[in-house]
Amino acid sequence: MTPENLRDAARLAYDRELAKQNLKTAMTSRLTVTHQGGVFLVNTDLFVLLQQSDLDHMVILDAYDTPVLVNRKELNSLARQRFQEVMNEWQYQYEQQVNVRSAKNL
Amino acid sequence: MSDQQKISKGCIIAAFNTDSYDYIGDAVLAGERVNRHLNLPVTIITDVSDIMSEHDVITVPKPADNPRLKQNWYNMNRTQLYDLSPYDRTLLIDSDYFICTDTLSAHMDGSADFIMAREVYNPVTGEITTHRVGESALPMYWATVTIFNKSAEASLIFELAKHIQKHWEYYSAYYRFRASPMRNDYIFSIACHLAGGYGQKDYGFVNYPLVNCDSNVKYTRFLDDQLVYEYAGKSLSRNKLTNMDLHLMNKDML
Repeated sequence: MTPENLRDAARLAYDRELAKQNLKTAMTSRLTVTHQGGVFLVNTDLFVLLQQSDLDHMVILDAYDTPVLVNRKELNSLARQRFQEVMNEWQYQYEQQVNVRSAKNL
Repeated sequence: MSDQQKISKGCIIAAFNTDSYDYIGDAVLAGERVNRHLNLPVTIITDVSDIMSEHDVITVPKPADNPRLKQNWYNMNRTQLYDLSPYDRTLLIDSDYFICTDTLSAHMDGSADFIMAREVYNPVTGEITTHRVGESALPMYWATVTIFNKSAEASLIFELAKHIQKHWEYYSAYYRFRASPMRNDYIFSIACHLAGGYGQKDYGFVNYPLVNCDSNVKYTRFLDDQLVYEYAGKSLSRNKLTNMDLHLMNKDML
């Protein structure tokens, strides 16, 4: 490969990784739900916290460090639904990205 | 019906035209995006009463000119917007903030009394960072997007902001940044620093970085809530932003 080819390959890799980062930032910011006035990030921590308890109601901290009395099953259901919606969209967008062979086709 | 459901919620956008730019037109379009994606009513705060729009309008005197890059800029009524907002819980955005998702709904449905953008996503580097104010290096907040309740805490922040605006020369010297032009971002950064017990409290949005499309981002096309852009100076580098709310700062590229 010529030096120009190598440079172009590096630039292409930069674009590709940046596209993944754009998508990750967009999708991660959508992994948020509201319940009982609290804002909760939908992530592994939340699922573990909700699933390790057998209480109907429990107090947990929301994203802004406010203690909120939550209905455990309701919040778990809400979070799972949001998680699935966002992950489906994430996969769809990702598949579209990998099919773009050149930045000119965007 | 719970108290949470009874409170009024809406969005306000302040806009004052200059000789060369139609900020009110931008505000009307930004408001339509808020209606569509967040299903919130919108009130435009401006000095013109007969604007062509479905949004509510509150008429106020045009603020003093705060020239930027040799252009008129009437941005100095931000500190008054707590008093002017007709809503119990308010989303406040700049007219160049393009709502393209319903992501802010979760934050609007929350109860935090005051939240302002702090983390910034850079679409050229893919990094999330917090900018700093001058040599004092306070965390910089961006007045571009804010949520506040009519509450003691939010009221204090706006009162502090009025005080800082009034004594701008002093605060710019104390926190060691350039005094001209006057920046709402800096006013509110200092207000948040003070109201939060000298930086003990973080008023930034959680999990919602501000996507700043600044002078390093060349807009190629904006269509269907999606921005295709190039990185200035690199002919091969092109990318797109989708499923994100966007701060489109380069008005001449739209």
